[in-house]
Amino acid sequence: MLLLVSGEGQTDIGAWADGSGQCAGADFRPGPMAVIIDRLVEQVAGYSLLDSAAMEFISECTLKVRSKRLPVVLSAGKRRDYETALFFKNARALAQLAKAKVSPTAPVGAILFRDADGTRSTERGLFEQKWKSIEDGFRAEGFGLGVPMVPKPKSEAWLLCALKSQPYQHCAGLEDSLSGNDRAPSPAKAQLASVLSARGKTVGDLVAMLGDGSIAPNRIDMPSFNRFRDRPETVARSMLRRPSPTPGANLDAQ
Amino acid sequence: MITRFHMENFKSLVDFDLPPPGHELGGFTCLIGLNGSGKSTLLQAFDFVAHVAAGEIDRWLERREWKKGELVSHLGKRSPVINFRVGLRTRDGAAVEWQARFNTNLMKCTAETVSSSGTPVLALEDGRLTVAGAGNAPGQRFESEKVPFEYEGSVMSTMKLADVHPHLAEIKDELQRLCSLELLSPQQIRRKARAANDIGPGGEKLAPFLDQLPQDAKARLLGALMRFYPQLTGWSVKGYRAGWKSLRIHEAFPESGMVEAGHINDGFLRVIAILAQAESAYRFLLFDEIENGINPALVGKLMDFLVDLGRRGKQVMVTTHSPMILNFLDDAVAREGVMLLYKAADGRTQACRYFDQPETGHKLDALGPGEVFVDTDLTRMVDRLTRPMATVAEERQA
Repeated sequence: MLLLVSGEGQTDIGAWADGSGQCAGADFRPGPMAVIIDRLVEQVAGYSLLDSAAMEFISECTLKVRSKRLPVVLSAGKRRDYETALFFKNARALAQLAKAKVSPTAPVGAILFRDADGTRSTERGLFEQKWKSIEDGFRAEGFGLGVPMVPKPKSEAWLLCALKSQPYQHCAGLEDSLSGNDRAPSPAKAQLASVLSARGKTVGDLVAMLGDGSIAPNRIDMPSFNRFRDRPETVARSMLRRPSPTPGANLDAQ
Repeated sequence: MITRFHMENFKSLVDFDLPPPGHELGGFTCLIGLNGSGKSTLLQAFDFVAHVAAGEIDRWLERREWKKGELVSHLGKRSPVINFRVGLRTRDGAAVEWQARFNTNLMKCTAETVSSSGTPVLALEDGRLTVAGAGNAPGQRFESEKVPFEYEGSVMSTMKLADVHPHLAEIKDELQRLCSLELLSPQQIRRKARAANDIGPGGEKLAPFLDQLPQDAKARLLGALMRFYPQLTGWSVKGYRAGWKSLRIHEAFPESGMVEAGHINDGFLRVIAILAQAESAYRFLLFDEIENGINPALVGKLMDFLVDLGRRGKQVMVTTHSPMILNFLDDAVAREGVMLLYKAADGRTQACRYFDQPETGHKLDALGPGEVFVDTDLTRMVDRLTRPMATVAEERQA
């Protein structure tokens, strides 16, 4: 089993260890979102994808280059919402990469991470459009093992849920109260840094905190996380050809 | 080449800059924006400035069937004065700026300065005219307490510029080589016309213009046309009594090999009028809604032609509503040359570089320029651009 993952940077899925931001790199340095994926899949697979080199990082740069080569999408309006083409094509590009790596003995899944809101968007409330456009991109490639990972407003909200003064409680409100805009007063990034600081930690410690159980992904209860939570497990079950405990949740392995 | 354009009090161009400060116009500029944002007005403003330089404003107004009072802005305080600045780069690389105050009651500039690399080479103020000589030395200056001749538009239009600073002649020539074809119309192109050295603002003189082209230019034009229309075998100009001329085309169809002007399709007429500009003396060409009547299958060829004109020393400015037009642009050309025009809350036209905006810039790495255009809600973007800064700050805080 192989799982391709792609995100926006070191603070979410991760990046090349040399921090170059290049399309290709040697060593993947996983970020907190990659570790969350690993923890969720481990429950099904029984082993860590990261530890067994079964999680492969695809840089954002690679997806941009491949997206640019994909057929042009010039429809909007009734057929397609605004602000969806980028995610759609990124998902198609990732699906193509995944399909190219499939072998008879090694099914391949893919997870595409994108913040719902933030500095890359000028407005809030695009979660559904972004989630759907990623799914549409996977579907356009006939790829059934793709999973959108779209925290609202951004990944810091999920982590704050676990680290705030009343951990894991009443987290849904964070999705609306936090600002995804890093230029706004008290942005999500600053709030996360603040709660970490109170524990004598930094953002750089998040991966270790997920590893030692200080942050328990399974306890995060937020609509955007809940929408995501079961999907990696379902994909892993499908790749491992294990039936889902939830009827109708099985996927076809490619 | 024209590098910058500033206009005050011309219709909706109240205090308008193109491109935004810190940038210069390149070989190809594409204006986009919602209906009524001022795209056509901007083309008219360029045409106005060219006719001020040529001293032909009366004729220009007459041809457009406009009254002089219609030139000025109706926004805010009414004034008969239009101020403008045009930045140009000369062949020897000097930055030249022509600044003028045009009085619509007098139909002429009452104040003008031309500076070359920061040094004034022409100044008209309170009727006093000072012009630098050819060498720009203090002794080589022409000064007059009162302009010793009548003029319309710019004082440069009537002056003999042979013995004065060479940049004056060059910029006058450059401005007169600006041609706005925003009125291009197939109906007008079909008309018979007599001798002409350009195609006319609506294309009404295309046939005589084509007729007077040298043989090599005619061959080049046919070659360019055949890339668009492989069935085309030639074109010719039919002469009538008293010098009237009309266009006809020849096609490789056995039954109907020749098509007279009245029956040539609109798209072909627009394409031949546009392609003919490669053979014209004009250096700055402006086209409104360039995609009109052109089959989408030909848009790529048309854009390649226009961008190539820009690379070969001409400047091209088009307006469009078509994502296909944008999608045929290289990213670098799109980043530099696609300008969004929009109206501020008070109705004034503003411009910004479209791919410098937070809604669009990052998408260009993964999408084509036209894809970004259809993927971005232009109305919402304009709304963000026109919101008062205080509101934006409040929203950020929220």
